[in-house]
Amino acid sequence: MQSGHHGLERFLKRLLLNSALSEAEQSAILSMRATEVQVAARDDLVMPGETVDQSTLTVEGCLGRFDLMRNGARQITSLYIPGDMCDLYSVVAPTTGWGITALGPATILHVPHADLRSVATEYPNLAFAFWRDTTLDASILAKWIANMGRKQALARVAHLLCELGVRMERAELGERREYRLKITQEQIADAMGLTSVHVNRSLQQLRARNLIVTTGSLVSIPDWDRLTELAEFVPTFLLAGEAKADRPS
Amino acid sequence: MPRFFIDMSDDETFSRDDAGLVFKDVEEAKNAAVATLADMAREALPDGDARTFLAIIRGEDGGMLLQANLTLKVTSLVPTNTR
Repeated sequence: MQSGHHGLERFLKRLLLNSALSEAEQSAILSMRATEVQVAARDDLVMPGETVDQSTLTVEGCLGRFDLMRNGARQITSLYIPGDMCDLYSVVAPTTGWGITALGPATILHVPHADLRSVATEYPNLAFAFWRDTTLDASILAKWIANMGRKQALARVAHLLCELGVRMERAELGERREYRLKITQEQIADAMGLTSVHVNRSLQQLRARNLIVTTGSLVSIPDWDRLTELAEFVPTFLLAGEAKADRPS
Repeated sequence: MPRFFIDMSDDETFSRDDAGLVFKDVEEAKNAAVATLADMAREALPDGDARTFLAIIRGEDGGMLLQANLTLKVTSLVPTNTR
């Protein structure tokens, strides 16, 4: 199999978590054109309403999808870690209703829609893999809405820390009980619909109960079961090992 | 931009802010603290008839700058024997 940009390899690894892909299909992913770009913290890569002809893959760092209010307030609607293709949707919806921003310094890959479209047309199984990938994104978003509408701040923040732990572990970027989180309290607040003061207070409470230990950007979770209990975290929404067997026959 | 330390209490739990948060000025810190008090009141379980939510803002030198209270008070308007 040919080797591609290491960012594309991360994307492939992410797809393989939920989709069984043949060698030809894997090679097709790795042979897509990709342009690496270094971005600074708080760079807005796509503005809501913009029309794009490429998708953004996170290679290093953390990106977010966001919406912007008239008064400048932001709501972060998704968080993306290395291997995540932030706006795979834009292949079929190039005029975006969302923006993409760098939450810290990041390395990204721009992948042309033409290439994504071409591999999906040639290999229907890849179209299913993309479909499953965007479904995972929508599933996380639905969980966020439920948490924001119905959970207290403490459980919301705890749930996010559990979610990121499982995602980091699956992406082989850390372990669910210990990983590096390179986003600010303000950004967690923008994602969870809270004030930064409330996020700060929630983190203090989690620390005081020894549910989390933070050292710089390192988050440690001494007792996973207690934290998931508090957060009402059930990882089903992360669609682990979702049907790999729906290959068209 | 300056850092402010905002301690919060909901009558049950007092959480002292040792990390602090950066705001443009004390006015912005106050707005965030007041919005948080309102969120805390919304989250509070209706157990008991009175509850006070408190925020204290400290500056970088440790000096107290501002205090904000939000009081939730429930008063029954019928005699207790008919409740």
